[in-house]
Amino acid sequence: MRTQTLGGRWLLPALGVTVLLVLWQVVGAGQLLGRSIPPLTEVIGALGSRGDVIWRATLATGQRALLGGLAGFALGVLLASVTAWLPRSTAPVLRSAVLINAIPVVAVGPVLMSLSTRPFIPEIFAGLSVLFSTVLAVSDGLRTASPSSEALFSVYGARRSTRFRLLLFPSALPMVADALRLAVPAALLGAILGEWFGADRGLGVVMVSAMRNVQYGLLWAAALAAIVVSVVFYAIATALERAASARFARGTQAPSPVAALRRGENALLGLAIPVALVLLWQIWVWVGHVPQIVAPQPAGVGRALVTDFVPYLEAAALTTVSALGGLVSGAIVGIGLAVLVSVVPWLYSMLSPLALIIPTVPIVVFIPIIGGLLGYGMQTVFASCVLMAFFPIYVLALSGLRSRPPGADDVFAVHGAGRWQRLIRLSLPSSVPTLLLAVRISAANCFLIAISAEWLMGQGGLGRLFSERRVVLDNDGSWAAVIVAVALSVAAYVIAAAAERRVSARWQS
Amino acid sequence: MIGTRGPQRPRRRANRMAGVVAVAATLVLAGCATGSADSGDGGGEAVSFQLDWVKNSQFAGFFEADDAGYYSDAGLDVTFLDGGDVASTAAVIAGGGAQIGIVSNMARYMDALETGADLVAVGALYQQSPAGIMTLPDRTITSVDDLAGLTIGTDESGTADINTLFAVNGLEPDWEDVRVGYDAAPLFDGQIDAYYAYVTNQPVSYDLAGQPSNTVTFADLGFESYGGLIVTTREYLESNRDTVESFVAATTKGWADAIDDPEAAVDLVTESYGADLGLDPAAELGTLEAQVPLMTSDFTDANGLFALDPALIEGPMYDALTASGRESLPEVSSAFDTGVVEAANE
Amino acid sequence: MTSAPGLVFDSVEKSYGSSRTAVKALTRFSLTVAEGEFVAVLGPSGCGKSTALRVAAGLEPLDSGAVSVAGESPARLIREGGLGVAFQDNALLPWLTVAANIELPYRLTGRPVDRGRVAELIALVGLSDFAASRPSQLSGGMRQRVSIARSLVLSPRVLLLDEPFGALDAVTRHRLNTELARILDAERSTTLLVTHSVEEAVFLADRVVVMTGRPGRVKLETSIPFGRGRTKEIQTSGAFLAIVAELTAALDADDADVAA
Repeated sequence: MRTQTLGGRWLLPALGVTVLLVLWQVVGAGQLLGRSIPPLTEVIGALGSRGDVIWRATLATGQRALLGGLAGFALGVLLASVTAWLPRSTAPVLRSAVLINAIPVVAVGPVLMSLSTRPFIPEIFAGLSVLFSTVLAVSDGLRTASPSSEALFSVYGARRSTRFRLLLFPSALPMVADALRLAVPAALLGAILGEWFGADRGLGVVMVSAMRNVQYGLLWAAALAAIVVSVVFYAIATALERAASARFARGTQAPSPVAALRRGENALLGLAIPVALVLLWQIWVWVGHVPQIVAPQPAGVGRALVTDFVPYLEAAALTTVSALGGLVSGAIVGIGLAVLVSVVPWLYSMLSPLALIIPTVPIVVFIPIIGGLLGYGMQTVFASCVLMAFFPIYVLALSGLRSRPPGADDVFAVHGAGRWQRLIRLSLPSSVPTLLLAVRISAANCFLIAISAEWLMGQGGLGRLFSERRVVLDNDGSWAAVIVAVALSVAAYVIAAAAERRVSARWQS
Repeated sequence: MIGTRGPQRPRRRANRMAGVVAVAATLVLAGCATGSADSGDGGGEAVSFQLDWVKNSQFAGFFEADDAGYYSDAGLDVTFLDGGDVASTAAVIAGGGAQIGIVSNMARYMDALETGADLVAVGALYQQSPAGIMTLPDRTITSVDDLAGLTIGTDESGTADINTLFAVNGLEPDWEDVRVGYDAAPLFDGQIDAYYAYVTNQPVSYDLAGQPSNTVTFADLGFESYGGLIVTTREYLESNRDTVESFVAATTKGWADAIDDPEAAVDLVTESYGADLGLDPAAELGTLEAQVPLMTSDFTDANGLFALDPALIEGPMYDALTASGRESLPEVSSAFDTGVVEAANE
Repeated sequence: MTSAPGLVFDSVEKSYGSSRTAVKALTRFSLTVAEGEFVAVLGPSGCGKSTALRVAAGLEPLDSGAVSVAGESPARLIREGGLGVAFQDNALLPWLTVAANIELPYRLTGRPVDRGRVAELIALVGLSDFAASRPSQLSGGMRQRVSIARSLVLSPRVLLLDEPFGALDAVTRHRLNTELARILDAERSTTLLVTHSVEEAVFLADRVVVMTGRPGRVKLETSIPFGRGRTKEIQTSGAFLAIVAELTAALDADDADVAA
């Protein structure tokens, strides 16, 4: 695997793509997985006959994803920069980002539709979708300057601005580029979802129309176009990331820990941020004379929560089972596949194009298709969560399995350790820190995806509860479901982050 | 964070980068070039009209009115706002995002009023709601009893409607709810026994795809309801009554054209207003043709398209709403304004 | 020994961590480096010798005691650009060229760059052909020479060297020691070197200080009887080897203390 042969570089990946396409054709033509997966030829036919429609939609969506995504990305970089400027603001900023990320966009859509924000919903969704990962990654990146460089800057009495400009920002650039890469599929998915709430053109509109009109060829052609745009943007971001990594020497320096807060401050902050948000919400409703049908008041939502406590609790339990069960299963599948692929190199080559495509696939778009395959209910919600969690865990597990301590390989070789022994005693243990990072990233998102899936086709859970209350315009009830979901999602993130801190401390040399 | 890579040969990378940047720039520019499309002719009074779905043939008459210049003749500059989120239209109108719009059915409209929204319905696109039940050809539904014990696929609004259907007929809901979304495929794949659909929509598409089905509307099963209520805020109506009346009058003309020549109306939808949706003209024509009988009745022949019948509302429709568990229904005269359609037809 | 104080530690106490789990790094640590003098600090690892250097550089606050650098507080000297530092990890910015890295202190202190001075130092460390190269294109030894040049570029009154050659192989280290001796003869600064190499300390310093294990205190001081302008030949002299042996024994004894 070290020496990349021609076969390794092109032949096997090409073979992988071919196998996938042939499989698609066979499944579609034979309707092996139901009628919602059309054969590849039908999709190509739709691309041919409706090429103009797909092209215009792709341009519109691509442009919105680009504009909104870049705006959200810039805001994310800015917020992260604030954390570098004022280290003590790091914890509050990160926590607010986690909180905002946990709000399902479907809950925000109707509000944005009723306000002057309406023409920009796709852009806003795209921006919101990339904000969280950007703040997180860039803020981490801004803490990767080596301690001795920091010391050097202190010894020469460099001003804060000088330190930021000459040290922190350049050393963060590889991770800024990483964030850009993560942002690509998120921005595109955000734009597509946003178009669903109102846009006269775009892939999201084509998809929703085609889905209802049983135009499977067109539906998949639009999905394919979304993937192509995503891959193109992803390639651009990857090129930037490689350039940044080479030029700005991606170091092995782990981010320094977030500026610690005292225990009391910590608790205060955990309370202050939600309270501040609720206060802002109340002020907005009062000052803007926002009617109940657009947005409820905090008190009403609180009342809904109290009066219907049991249904919310049951729904929360069901959603938690799907989300966490999906996370655990996704982790098992992801780690399993990473192990398999690291032991069987040709499989890795064959799957490598998939590894490029999957992160760019807007998963929510495929939830209905999963429903068609697995049936409608909790199994689909569960499978969506597995799919969502599986990929980042697979990617990070793979990179973790390869990041062994220098020299350790030789030690194992000298002692004649076999492939499996090496795997169990060396590779797996050294991948633990990266795995935990993957779990942290997936933990919060898992709830989001569970709620989206329940909303679209769940038979229960918070997403379904949200949808039931929303459709009868019971805003108190639907927002209450959102708030429970946000709380769960933030809790999952906080717990995963704490576990990561605990465990990774032991892994540091 | 993800994927640490070693340094690369710089020259090749530079070339590749130049390539990708060029592609990105092209995308942006091309996007800008095709950016602004349907801005109104200007001059007239601006009215935003909120549709309750994407721009397909179920709104053909509105587009006819715009294209034929009925709106501009009446001094209006109408912008159509579309959206796939059916549940939000009442909020958009109440929140001032659109002056006039469509609220998809009576139940949704009552829900909106219950939140305290200051709305008033001035007309109904459908005299009989197109909501109904779709089954395979070997199953015929003639009464609600035929639905008892079935597994029915629903979308977001289906569950409440079917429960109401049982209640209107004096029955406890006896059916299994499977949330499947907008696609009727599970019906043909045998995963469900029946599917909640707009009879003007999915059945038509499937029929054209060689998959015939049986359909029945809720009205046929005893649950009467208007569909596609034309709604505005009371505040807007009071200060712009003329505008609303002109809008409805022009829309009536547009729909008359669409009903007269559905092929031309479908062309307008698929080639102009909904050109970005990739609609299938045959399916759109089928939808429009299925929709016309639901829009017209003896009552509309006498009183004009979109006309509201207070007796019908107060009677069977309010009965259905009461059966669905609603305790306090508003005065018909406060929630519905029959005068707009009357004035429009003078 | 000259009389003017260059760098003075007066009963410095320093511990890390919260009050309950505190680790004492320095206790009653006193040391005076005269102006222009070169003092090397030796000690077992973890004895607090790097802490002493960080305290002098103003990077760590003190628990008690005092540090003055050329009669002023480290903070004051930092403002004047009067400190130079080099670390084991060379702390070069990988995205800057050799010349730009050496210029960095000018930018950090907000002074105009003296290109002549930069070129002079590049020449002094023998990297004239590499001024436009980036750190990733240099060997470890070359990077460390850039780091030394950077530490000297502002002609600091006090130079602090924390294991500058600790990560290098023995041969390179020897060569750089000889070079550093030559460079420091040209660039006279009050110098504190922290190292764990006895030979390096004896070869470079005017005086060597041995510290005890944690918490660090001064255990032994030895003046080195060689003048400046040393060449590598002295490393094979009997006097040199005797001092090395004496200091090594002192360090070993300390290890025994720790073990006991």
